[in-house]
Amino acid sequence: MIHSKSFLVPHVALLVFAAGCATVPPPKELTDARTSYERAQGGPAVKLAPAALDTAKQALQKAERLFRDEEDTPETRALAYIADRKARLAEAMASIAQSEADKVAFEGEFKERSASELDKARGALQAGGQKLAESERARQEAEKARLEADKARKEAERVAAAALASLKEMASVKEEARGVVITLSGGVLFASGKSDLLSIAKEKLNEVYKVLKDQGSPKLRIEGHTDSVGSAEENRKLSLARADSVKAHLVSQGYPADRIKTVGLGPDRPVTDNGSAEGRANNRRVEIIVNPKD
Amino acid sequence: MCIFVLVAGCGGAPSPVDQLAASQAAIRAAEEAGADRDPEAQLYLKLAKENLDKGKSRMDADDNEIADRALRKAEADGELARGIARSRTAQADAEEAKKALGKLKPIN
Repeated sequence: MIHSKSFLVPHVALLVFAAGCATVPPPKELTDARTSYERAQGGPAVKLAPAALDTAKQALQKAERLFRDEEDTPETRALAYIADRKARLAEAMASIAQSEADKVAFEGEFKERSASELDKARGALQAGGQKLAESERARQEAEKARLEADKARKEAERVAAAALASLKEMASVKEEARGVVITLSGGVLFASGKSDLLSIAKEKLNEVYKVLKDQGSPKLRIEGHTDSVGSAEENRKLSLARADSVKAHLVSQGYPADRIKTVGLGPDRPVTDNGSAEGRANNRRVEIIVNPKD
Repeated sequence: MCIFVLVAGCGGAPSPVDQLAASQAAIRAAEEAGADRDPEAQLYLKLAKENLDKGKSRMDADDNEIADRALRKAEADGELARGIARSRTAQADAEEAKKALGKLKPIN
C-alpha cells in the first residue's frame, strides 16, 4: 500500500512539474482538471471505479501533453475541459458502485432478518396453534369424561331403581323407627319347617344383596319370625336358623359377615293375628333391618 | 477572415457528423437517466446542450474544427450529467433499502 501511494504522489507531482515547465500559466480548464483528478484519485474511485479513473487519467495526460507541446490553445482547453468531466465522472461512477453495494447489503440483511422474523412468527403461530389444539383436545376430553360420568351415574340410578323395583316385587320395604325394614315372606324362602333356602329364594336374595351392596354394605340385622303354631322354643330355634341361612347366603355372595347380626324371635313379634291362615302366613317372615337403630 | 473561414471549411477538418450523433446520444441518455431532476446533473446537462448548440451552429458555418471541439465537450458534459443522475438514483435506491430495513423490528 505504501508503495502504490508513494508511487502515485510523485506521479501527480511529475504532471504538475511538467506543466510548471511551460512558460505560460496553465488555463483555468487545466487547473480545474488537475484538481478534479487529484480529488478523484484520492477518493473511493480508486477501488470502486478504477476503469473510469484510468480514463480520466489518460484524458488529463493528453491535455498536459498538449499544454506542454503547444501551450494554451483552444484544443488544450477542450482536452482539459473533457479531462475534468472524466475525473468527475469517475467519482460519480464510484458513488454508483458504492450505493449499489450498499443496496445489496441492505437488501441482503433485510431478507435475512425478515426471513428470521418470518420464522419466528411461524414458530409462534405454530406454538399458538398447538396450544389451541391442546386446549381444544383437553376440553373435548373433559366433555367426554363428563358425558361418560353422567351416563354412568344414570346407569347406576337405573340399576338401583330397577333393583329396588324388583326388590319391591318380592319384599315389602318400609321405613320404620328401627331403620329401613325389608320384609321377606317366609313362604317364598323356606319349605315348611326347614331352614334351607329354596333355590328361588337364593335368586331373590341376590337381588337384595345387590341393592345393599350398592348402598355401601350397611349394617344389617336379620330377624327370623314364625307364626304361633308349635313350640315357641322350637320356633325360635327355627327362626334363628333361617336368619342365619339368609346371612350365610348374603356372605357367600360377598357381603361382609361382621356387618350382619342375626336373631331368632320365633312367634314373639307377630305382625298380624295368628287366627287365620293368611295372618299366619304373614307372620312367617324374615326381616332385614338396614342400619338398625339399636 | 472570409478567406480563412473558407480555407478552414474546404481544406480543414471534415464535418463532425459522427461526433454530433455521439453528443446528441449522450444528452438523450442523460435526460433518460433523470439528469433534469437533479441540480448538479442539470448544470452539466445545460452545459452539454450549450456546447451542442454551439457545435451545431459552427457546423452550419462550416467551422468544423471548433464545432468538433464543442461537440466533444458536449459529449463529456452529457456523460457526466448521466453519471451524476445515475448516482442520485442509486443513492435513493440504497436509502430506500435502508429504510425498509429500519422498518423491520429490531433483532431481539
